[in-house]
Amino acid sequence: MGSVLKVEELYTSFQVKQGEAKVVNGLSFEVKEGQLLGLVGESGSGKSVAAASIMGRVRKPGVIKSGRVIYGEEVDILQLPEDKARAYRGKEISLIAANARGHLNPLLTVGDQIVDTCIAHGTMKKKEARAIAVEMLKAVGIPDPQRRFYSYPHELSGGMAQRCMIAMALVNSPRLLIADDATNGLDVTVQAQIMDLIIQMIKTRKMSGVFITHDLGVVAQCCDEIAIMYCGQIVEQAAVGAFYDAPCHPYSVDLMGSLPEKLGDDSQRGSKDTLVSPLCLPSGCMYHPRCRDATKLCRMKMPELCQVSGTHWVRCHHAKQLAEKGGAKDGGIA
Amino acid sequence: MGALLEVKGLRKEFAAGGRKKLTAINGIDLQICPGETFGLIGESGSGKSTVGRCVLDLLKPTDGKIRYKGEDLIHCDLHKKKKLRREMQMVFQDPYYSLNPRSTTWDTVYETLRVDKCIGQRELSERVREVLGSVCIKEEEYGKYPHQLSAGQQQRVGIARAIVARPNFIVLDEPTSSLDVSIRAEIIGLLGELQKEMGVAYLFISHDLSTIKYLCHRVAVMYLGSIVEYGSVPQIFEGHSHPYSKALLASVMVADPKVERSSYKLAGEIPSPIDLPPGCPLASRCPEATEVCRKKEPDMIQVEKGHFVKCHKASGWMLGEDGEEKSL
Amino acid sequence: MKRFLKDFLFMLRKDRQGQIGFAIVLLVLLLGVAAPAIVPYDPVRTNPADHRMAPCLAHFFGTDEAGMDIFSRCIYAIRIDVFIGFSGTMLSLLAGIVLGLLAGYYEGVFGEVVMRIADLFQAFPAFILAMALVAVLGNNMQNIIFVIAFVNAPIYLRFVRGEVLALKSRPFVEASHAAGMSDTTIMFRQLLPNSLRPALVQASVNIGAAILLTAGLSFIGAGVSVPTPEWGSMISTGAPLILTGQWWCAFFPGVSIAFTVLGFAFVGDFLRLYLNPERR
Repeated sequence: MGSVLKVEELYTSFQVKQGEAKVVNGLSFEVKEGQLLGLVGESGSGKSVAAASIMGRVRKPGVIKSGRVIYGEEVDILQLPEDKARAYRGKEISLIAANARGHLNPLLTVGDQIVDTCIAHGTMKKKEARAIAVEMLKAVGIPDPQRRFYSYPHELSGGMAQRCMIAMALVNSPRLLIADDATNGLDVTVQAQIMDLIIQMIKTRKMSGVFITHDLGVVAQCCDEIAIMYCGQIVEQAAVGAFYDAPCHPYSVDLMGSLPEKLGDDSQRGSKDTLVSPLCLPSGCMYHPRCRDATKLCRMKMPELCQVSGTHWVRCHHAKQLAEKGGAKDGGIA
Repeated sequence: MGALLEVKGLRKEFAAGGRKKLTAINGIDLQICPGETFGLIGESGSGKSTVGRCVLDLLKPTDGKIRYKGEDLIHCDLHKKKKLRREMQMVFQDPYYSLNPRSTTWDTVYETLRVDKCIGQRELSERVREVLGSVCIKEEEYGKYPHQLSAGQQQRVGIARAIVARPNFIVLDEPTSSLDVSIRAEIIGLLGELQKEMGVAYLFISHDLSTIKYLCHRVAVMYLGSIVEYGSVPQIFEGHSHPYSKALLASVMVADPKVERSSYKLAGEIPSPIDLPPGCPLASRCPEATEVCRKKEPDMIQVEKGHFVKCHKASGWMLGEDGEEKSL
Repeated sequence: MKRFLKDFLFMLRKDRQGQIGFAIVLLVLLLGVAAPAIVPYDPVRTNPADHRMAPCLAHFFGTDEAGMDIFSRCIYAIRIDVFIGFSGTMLSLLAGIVLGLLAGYYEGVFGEVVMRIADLFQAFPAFILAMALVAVLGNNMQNIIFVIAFVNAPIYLRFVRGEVLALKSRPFVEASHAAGMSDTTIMFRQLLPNSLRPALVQASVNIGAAILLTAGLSFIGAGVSVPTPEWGSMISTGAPLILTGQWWCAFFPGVSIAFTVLGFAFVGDFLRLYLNPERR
């Protein structure tokens, strides 16, 4: 399987009054063809900045310090001049953001915005683009697409606006779709509809997807692979099945233990509520101030991602022990 | 056990320009017992937050009765109202916006308690200290402003403010929905503990079904201003349910890849609450809707003890068969 | 308080325009306070022998038609103009805040009435309205202060009311209601501190405008009367002399006004940034 997107050692930081806020700290991951990757992180974990870095939308005072973002086989998008890079964005990779209504231009009809996106890449005529836009609106399940073509964003509900965003993101048939908290702020029933739609679109068009979210449920139901982000790093990456059976990293364990459906179990842990600021990152392992199992080694040295089993990678000094413990516990239940 | 709070036929309408009316609450009945957690589930636009605000007298209902400990809360004199109000508090969704940005942690809680004029200075300080301690706010946090606190701490201060006057009843308006998962767990745990200690009753408003399932004793499902189903947690989550409850439960994404989601789905989205059509509010989206549903509003029917459903088909379930039009 | 000051200085250090503004304002205030010690002549003493003298070492800014020293008069005028501008603005700020708070909090009939009255006054150009009011009340310093307050109050009223309306629906205000706090407590302890920023910023910019208004009224003879040193009236008496070549009589008071107004405008711009909590 070829890879669609490869991110290597990405560092992004923001220069602010109080100093340098290091938001993404050595992020690496790969999305293979046809794969659905769930990138999970809480607020402040740098997941949205990571998406912005990949899309080249980091704005001042943000700076991409170093790293490579490779689209397809060999192109490092960060090395390309802006005009060439633009040809890849939106065509090869497109983004669906949260707060769809805020991302649509309030003064243009949704149809025109889709047409504009369409024309921006390629040599299509306006008339063709128009036909395609209506077709897309229909495909994303918007009733009466001919009429909705002329709707302004404020006339749409949140769910409808998000459908239009999806139509816009897919109109150029990209190979990879990044959904940055795409269902945030939507109601549960609408969230389910939108997620189902995105997945159906990705599957039928043979695309790959990255779902950036804080919702472990969404990933469990929709993705093949999961990566947990903390302080701008991936702390654990695994196939979805393996992860939910036995999460290894203490942070993942805490996250899973915090889910309401898991509360009340004996294994309930939750982590310490400590504000970790990207302005002064902790030494050693980023998670040690909140970790209940932190040792001296964790405070001194940053752990590397190490393999605990076939596709399961964990960034923890005690990964091996944790994996055995988790496996044993799991075995006990089974 | 007598009900602590009793709501009967509550309606709330807002003017929506011209002669249009926005019906936020379309006649609901509720009873909340002392020390119980009553969950109110619904999507945005279902009117669940409006219910919380009406109950606390922050909004004046258009019609209906609200009784607290047997006293009419809407039509009573100001003095009594003020006294009753002290026993009912609220915790808000967004912890940051619910705190005065120019008040320190200490002041926020202190000011709330100071309204009680009969408490002495020393006792005041002691009570504030005690309450802040019980929500695990450390002393170095006392002088901080909201933007200097983490979201979890902000919500703790919000909770401290609510419990400092020792209320009997607290409305929790989505207290965890804007918090991160790991912090959410602590807040839920804290709320549970406080209830055990103080015997306070909660009205827990949320769209997060898994939290409701964990924390609540009884649940009501709201849709478009009406309660469509209510009963105990197992009755709602496992028993026969209203089509809307079924769809709502089906759309929950369980954090376990082995759990299959049921494919029960509603068409479209929640319609506008302006000028409600006649008939069942769900009729336009319900996959099982029939002609009757569009014409006549169903009644609340008891399908088993303590389990009520507002659906034309509910009587069929009561008989335990698929009787379609039998209820007519 | 100490942190407050430190923060303030930190921001000021990076803002060149703010530095210039504060330097000008401090200089002007200092000159005004120390006027008796600085000026070489009594500002109202006429000396017909030295009339219409061009700027020279004895008279830095020259002398006017009556032989009064323009430098001394310009310095002394600070006491009149800046004082009137400042106190007029403060008075209007106070009135605007109180009314705005009430009009925002009690939206119904009361708020409507207050806003319509404010509309009524803002419908006239500020200068015309001020002129008419001075004509009715009589032109002494007290009345001019009052008129400036009256003309400007609707601006602050709108600012504060707007903020209050936005804040009123914020949960922390609802929480105060739920806690059973009284209306006055909510208004003054919860709403007031959060709704002041735009009004304060506007006020610091407006001091300059108020000074201009004072000078303008005096220029047309509706302000402070002639022998008192005042920039506007000095320009007014000096203006005809420009034709005969005595440009300094009008020029230096004009520069004084421009200089002072610029200083306050810069300070206002700096405060706009400084008071914005998101900048911190």
